[in-house]
Amino acid sequence: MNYAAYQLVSICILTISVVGLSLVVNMCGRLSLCQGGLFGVGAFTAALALTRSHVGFLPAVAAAGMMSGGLALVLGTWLVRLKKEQFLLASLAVQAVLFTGLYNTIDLTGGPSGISGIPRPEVPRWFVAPELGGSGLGSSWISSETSTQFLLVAVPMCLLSIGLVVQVRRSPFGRVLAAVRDDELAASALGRNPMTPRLAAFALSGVLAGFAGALFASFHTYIDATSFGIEESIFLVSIVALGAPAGIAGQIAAVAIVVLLMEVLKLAVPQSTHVAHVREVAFGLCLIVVAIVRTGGPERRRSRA
Amino acid sequence: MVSRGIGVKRMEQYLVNGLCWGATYAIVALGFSIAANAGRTLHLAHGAVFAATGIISCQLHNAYSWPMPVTLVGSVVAGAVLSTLVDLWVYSPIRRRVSTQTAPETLLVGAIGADAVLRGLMGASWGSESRSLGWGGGVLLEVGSAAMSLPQVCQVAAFLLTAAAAAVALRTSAGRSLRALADDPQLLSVLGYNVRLLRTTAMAASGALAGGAGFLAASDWGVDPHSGLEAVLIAAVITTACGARWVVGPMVGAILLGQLHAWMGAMLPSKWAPLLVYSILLVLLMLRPGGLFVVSSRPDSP
Repeated sequence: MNYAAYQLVSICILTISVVGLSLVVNMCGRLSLCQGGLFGVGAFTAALALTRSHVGFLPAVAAAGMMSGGLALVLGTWLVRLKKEQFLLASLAVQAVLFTGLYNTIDLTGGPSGISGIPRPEVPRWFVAPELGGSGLGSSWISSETSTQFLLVAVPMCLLSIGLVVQVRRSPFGRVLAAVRDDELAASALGRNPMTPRLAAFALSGVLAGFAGALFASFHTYIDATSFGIEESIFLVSIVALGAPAGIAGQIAAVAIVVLLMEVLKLAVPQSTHVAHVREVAFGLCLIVVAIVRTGGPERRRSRA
Repeated sequence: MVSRGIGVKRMEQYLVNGLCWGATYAIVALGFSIAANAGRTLHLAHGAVFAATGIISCQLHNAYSWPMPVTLVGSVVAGAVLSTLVDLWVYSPIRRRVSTQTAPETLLVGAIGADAVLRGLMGASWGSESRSLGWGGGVLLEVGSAAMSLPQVCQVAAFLLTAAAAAVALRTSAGRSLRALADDPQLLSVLGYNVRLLRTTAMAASGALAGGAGFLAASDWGVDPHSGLEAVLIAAVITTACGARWVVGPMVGAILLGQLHAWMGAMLPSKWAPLLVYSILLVLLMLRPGGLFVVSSRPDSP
């Protein structure tokens, strides 16, 4: 049960980050390779808030979202003006800058040693030990020590993020995003500034990356910068590309398939140090196959004839 | 007086170090710009080819005791083969299937995939640690008060040879075809040229250059599977700053960046030095995003 719950929490964390990235990739038509870095900024913000400022879990999540979203907003003000290839290159450079910053600011992030002892969120006591109910001795809230208990936090956050992205896609704002993606010139001619919706989507993607990072830091109780390198960004883009044809449902299915595939790889590859490299090869191959097989690139334009 | 003397000596050494570093990355940037012009995409896997050939050089020399000149040839051939395979197995199938309008972004997805595959294969085969050829470490030449080792002399010689060879090659019939390929592949196809063959040849040449640069980097400062990302970003900085017009832009840009890298490396702690390259790229893209992206403003580009 706990193993299944662990995988489910991993799926929830990845889903939040992936649905956020899908706003930029699928709705804006821009390939972003800095989502791993924004995810890392969120994770470290939450870790610092929880371990140094000793704030609660929800304020830490809010701080992580604001930090990653704010950073995305600041960077996005000029990133969204760039053309597709330039955007990709700039996002790659942003990822490299963020990683170098996270890895080298040892006083803040711990550098290669990372930050340990990150507390897990508290859940209602009745969920952890139903026989005690909410009226036992002491507080009615207790730290979520197991993955099953952590689900009580991860699942609602994941559902909220999915709901938010679905609403954005269906809203007039989402239709403006799609219009700008499909024909920027026509959208401009109709009085729409193409930069504003793109910037908003990029910032929202950063906020969701921050939420996912906070959840990741709290779930694993230890983080270091090596988890947020370019490999993580490629990994996230691969999942978005894999799930793109089927919209949000496709993204969630792709996350689930990828998490399962990771488990299979762990079993199939005897040396644990090789798992990360085999994962890179597997997802690189996925990207190549997606690029060759699909004719519309990562952002399918269903609205076109 | 003594401290002034030490200062001048250090300055000369920084100049030499910057020249050698820039010379190697000039070759990487030239290969990157050839692939970008001929293939009309950011060949992001170019960095992985560079890193792979550096590691292959170390394997050939350190594990199989190949003589150094043969190792260099092996590295160049490996680079050409890897780049050709990327073109044949990734870029060509994508070009065959997708429309001209969606080709650039789909090629980018393929390039990211090829880069990840090569990097993962390197890590799985040879591990993540840095490797070097470990030869010619002593002082071979003194320029003023600066010392140059044998690998550094080779870097400068390779830079001069590559610049001369590229300048001559672009004036030949094949070179003119490659330039025409960058300008208008459709017209070239109408005129009866085999565009696919030309593209594959350009990719092989680009890979051969990455192979040569990989050997030089392994000779001097060493390479690891992740060196490729830094290399391709440096190449992007150079071509973005100085344009991708085949020879002059990448070669001059690399030497200038080499000087900046050496001087900033001397003034900043080494762990922060990589930030310089990425920051320059970001500022360039912000202020002057032209250069390389002249490619995307052509009539048949989106």
